[in-house]
Amino acid sequence: MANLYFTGTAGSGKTAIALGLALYLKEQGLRPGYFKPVGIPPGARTVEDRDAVLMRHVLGLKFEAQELAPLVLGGYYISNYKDPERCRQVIKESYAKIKAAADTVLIDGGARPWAMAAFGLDALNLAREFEAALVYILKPANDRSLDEAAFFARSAKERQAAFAGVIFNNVPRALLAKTEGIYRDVLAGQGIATLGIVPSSPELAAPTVAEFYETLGGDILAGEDKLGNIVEDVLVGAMTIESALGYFRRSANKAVVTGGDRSEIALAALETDTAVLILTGGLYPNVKVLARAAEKGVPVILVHYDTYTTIEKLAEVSRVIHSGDTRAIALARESVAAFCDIDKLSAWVRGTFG
Amino acid sequence: MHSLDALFRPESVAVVGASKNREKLGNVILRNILRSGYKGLVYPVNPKEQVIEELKVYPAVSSIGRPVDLAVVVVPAERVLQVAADCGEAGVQNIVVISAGFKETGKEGLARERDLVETCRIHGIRLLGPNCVGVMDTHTPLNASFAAGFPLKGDIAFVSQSGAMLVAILDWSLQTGLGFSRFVSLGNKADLNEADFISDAVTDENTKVILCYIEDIRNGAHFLEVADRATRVKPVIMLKSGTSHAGAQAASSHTGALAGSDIAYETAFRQTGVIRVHTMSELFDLATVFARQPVPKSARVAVVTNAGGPGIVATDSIEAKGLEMARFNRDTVESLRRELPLEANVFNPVDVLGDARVERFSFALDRVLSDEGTDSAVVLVCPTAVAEPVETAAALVEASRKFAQKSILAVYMGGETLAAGAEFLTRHGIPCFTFPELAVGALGGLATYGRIKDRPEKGSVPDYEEINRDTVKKVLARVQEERRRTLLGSEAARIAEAYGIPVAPLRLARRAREAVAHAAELGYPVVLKVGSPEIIHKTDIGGVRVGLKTPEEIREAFWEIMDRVNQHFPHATIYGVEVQKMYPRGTELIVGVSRDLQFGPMIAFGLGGIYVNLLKDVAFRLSWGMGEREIREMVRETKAYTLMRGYRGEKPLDIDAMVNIIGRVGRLVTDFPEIVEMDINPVFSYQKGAAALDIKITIE
Repeated sequence: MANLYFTGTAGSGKTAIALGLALYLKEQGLRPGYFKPVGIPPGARTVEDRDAVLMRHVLGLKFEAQELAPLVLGGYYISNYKDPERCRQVIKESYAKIKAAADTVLIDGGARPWAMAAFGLDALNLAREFEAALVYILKPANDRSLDEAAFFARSAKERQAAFAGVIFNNVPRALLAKTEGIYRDVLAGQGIATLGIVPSSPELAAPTVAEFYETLGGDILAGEDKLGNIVEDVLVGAMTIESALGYFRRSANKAVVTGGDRSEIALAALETDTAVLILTGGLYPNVKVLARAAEKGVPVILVHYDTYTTIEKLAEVSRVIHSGDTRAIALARESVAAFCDIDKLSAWVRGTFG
Repeated sequence: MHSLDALFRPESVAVVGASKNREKLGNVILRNILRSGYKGLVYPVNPKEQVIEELKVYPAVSSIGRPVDLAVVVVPAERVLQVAADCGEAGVQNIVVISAGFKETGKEGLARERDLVETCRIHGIRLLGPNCVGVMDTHTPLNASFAAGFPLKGDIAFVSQSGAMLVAILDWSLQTGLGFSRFVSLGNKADLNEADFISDAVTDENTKVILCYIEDIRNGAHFLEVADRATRVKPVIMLKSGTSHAGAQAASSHTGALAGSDIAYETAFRQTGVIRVHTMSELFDLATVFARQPVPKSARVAVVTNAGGPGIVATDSIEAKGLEMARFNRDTVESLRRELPLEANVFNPVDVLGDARVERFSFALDRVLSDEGTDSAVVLVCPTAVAEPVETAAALVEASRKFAQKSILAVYMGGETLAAGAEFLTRHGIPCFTFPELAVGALGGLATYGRIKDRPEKGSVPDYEEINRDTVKKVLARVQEERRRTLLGSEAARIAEAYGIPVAPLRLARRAREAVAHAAELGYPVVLKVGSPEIIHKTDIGGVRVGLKTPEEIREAFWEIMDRVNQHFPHATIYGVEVQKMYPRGTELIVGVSRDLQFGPMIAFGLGGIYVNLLKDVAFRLSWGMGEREIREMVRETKAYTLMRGYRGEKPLDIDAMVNIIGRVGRLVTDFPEIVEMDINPVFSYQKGAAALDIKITIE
């Protein structure tokens, strides 16, 4: 049996696809393994790669999370690891252990296809090393989104790595028709297969307040029990009170970032559909804002960054599915089964394709 | 409705948390009740004491064994709930919770307050407070509060959200001699709120004027109904703080409630006949004149003065406040001319000259008040060497008795010399001010009330035939399914059309050739606009192209728009491009809606297009009580109306068509409360008909 290597850009939903497929394969009587050679740096309050923790739990793997994700792509990884050869060795050892216990290994790529390319440990090299077929996961935003997939597919072929195809994931509703009618054909014209078009589903793809908290740190002042609220939008509250309400009303399930001293902005946000209130500048808010937030079931996070820094940090937030998140896990499985070419993907795994 | 009688006129009162220690509130309240001359039964409650202030003490309300009408609770917050439950067991109907430590302190306090409200609800208890100063009625008499002092008996009810304001005013009133019927400190308004007390004060025969100081309104819909009914019977004067940006922020921090838009408050007050004041001095100036003077039929004011300058100042104020200077009839003018010195001014303002003694004032005042064209008089007295302030005051009191239907206000411009006269006036029910503008301001309040007291019954949003609610439901369901909050222009247009609002036809095209097909159907020329719910200001980013006359122009414009938008908003979701039939230019107007948190939909009308923010020519109405008469009234309030009537030889525009659009918009947002914001800007107004060009809708 062969392996699959899921790569793509950060936040494109690689783990959800790998998870959904793994569950499907398991139902088919196979023993899927999971491997993430280059993990994501830990958040403010976790040390292990969260995807590895999830897959270990859901697939009942007997390995430690650190074995499933042996390396971490920190901003100082070259200084930290120093020796590319040693890194390759660590990865190979982990892989060998995982492969020995599995029929097929679903390999989860790093944040970007070129992660650790400086050590020669990018997706193209590792896919060849582990005899895995590459699947490129792509969240389309506009025509330009297609370029990266096409470029990567061609590079893979030129390097003689197996390239299974592209999965369009988290496709916004407005782009669904275009993806099905135009993007698929354009890729086919380049000899690239489309293995799935998965419509956007905020329950699965949108980050939750917990992920925001993980990224930002800070203190939770209210709504501790609502960290599972999903966040679909981020708005900054820096307007006058007259304009605030109209502005906040335009957006659902949003995070509102504003200064801790702006009670009236915070209260306006709480009158609309707000998933989390992020108060900046370390300014502890008026207790009445917290009482109102508790009343409305909206978490309040107090951070010490200024508003601009907070927004910059939020750009990094993406959804992490947790092992207790049964609904999202079930949804991941359903999405793969319903919207991906499951026969083709299975065929790649069983080695009957390509 | 006499539901609050047990609060203001209880036959028995329990003080729960009564204390022996005279420093403690539990003792202050008990003694306040006793000292106020309360004639009912008083039961101190405290499980640890036997006798307080010579009264037998009970361990709990339920152990008193006789009916208790009112319980005043002053135990620590964490024990209030238990006390309330005990009161419920004992059948108490009203409790006043003085104790703090509730919503105002944060999350825990909020939970405690909710539990308290729930307990009271279960037992059918009405609750005042918590976190309040208490309640007083000077006619019962009862002082169930911890204020230092008891107001003079009078006919003004004062309801205050600020306890501090209440005690300060009480102290001030004792000095100025102003009497009150009731004082109510609202506290956190967990149950009883301003509307309940306004409603009750209307039925209280001892109350003539209702004064309120509020920071927010708890239940907007209830308030509107109550205020509208109340002001048809008695004047309601309201000081609502938090109008400035900083003030709104302070109010939010103070009450924990979003203040809501001040425009909405202003509109709500106007529509319900509430007289709004903006300063504390105005609040009490108005209270004084309402309590002591009749409400004039209309706004014609006579001024009698012994000094020319102040007379002119008063005249200026009268005009500025929207009052009128009375025009005397020939008889009045003749008799004034006959009796007054030659150099006196016998037209309004009547100048009786600096050497005037009481006789001249008395004569002139009698003449002008006898004139049918006069509704009220302002008498200015400057401290000249011959002035007789006390005698003049007596003459004013006399005139006030003779002309009981006309209001008389005095302005004693000075200090020492006039003090005795001013005091005489106050004591005899003639409001006396130091400066003319204050008197005129107060008179303005009286005249306003005279105008609105007998206003017609409020209207209601008109019903229209041929409205297609199902189409609207379908469109909204689709938007909700996509988890969007803002509608595409094409969706908003469909909704408007379904409600009979004339719209310049609009279709969404996903591809250029679709756009061309739409244009052929609609007829050239057309306008192309980007179709994205995320892009509000389409023109700013090159998302609009007008005057397209051929398929080639449409194709070119289609891709140009898509490219421009992609450049400016690379992450925005683009649904396509909207094709709209290009209509001839009309006068650009705006019809808008914003759902206010307290008062519901608020409709705006005015000059539209690019002038909205520049000219700010907009009038507002709440959809509550907005019938056709109110719509026409709103239209008339704008400069746009002047334009529509035909400005400087222009042909008049179709006002009925606009009234119809406003009414239908009102109907739409009433039928679909999920619509929280709506803007039709511009509406092109024509000599015949009107058309909505651009419609934005936000839903909840």
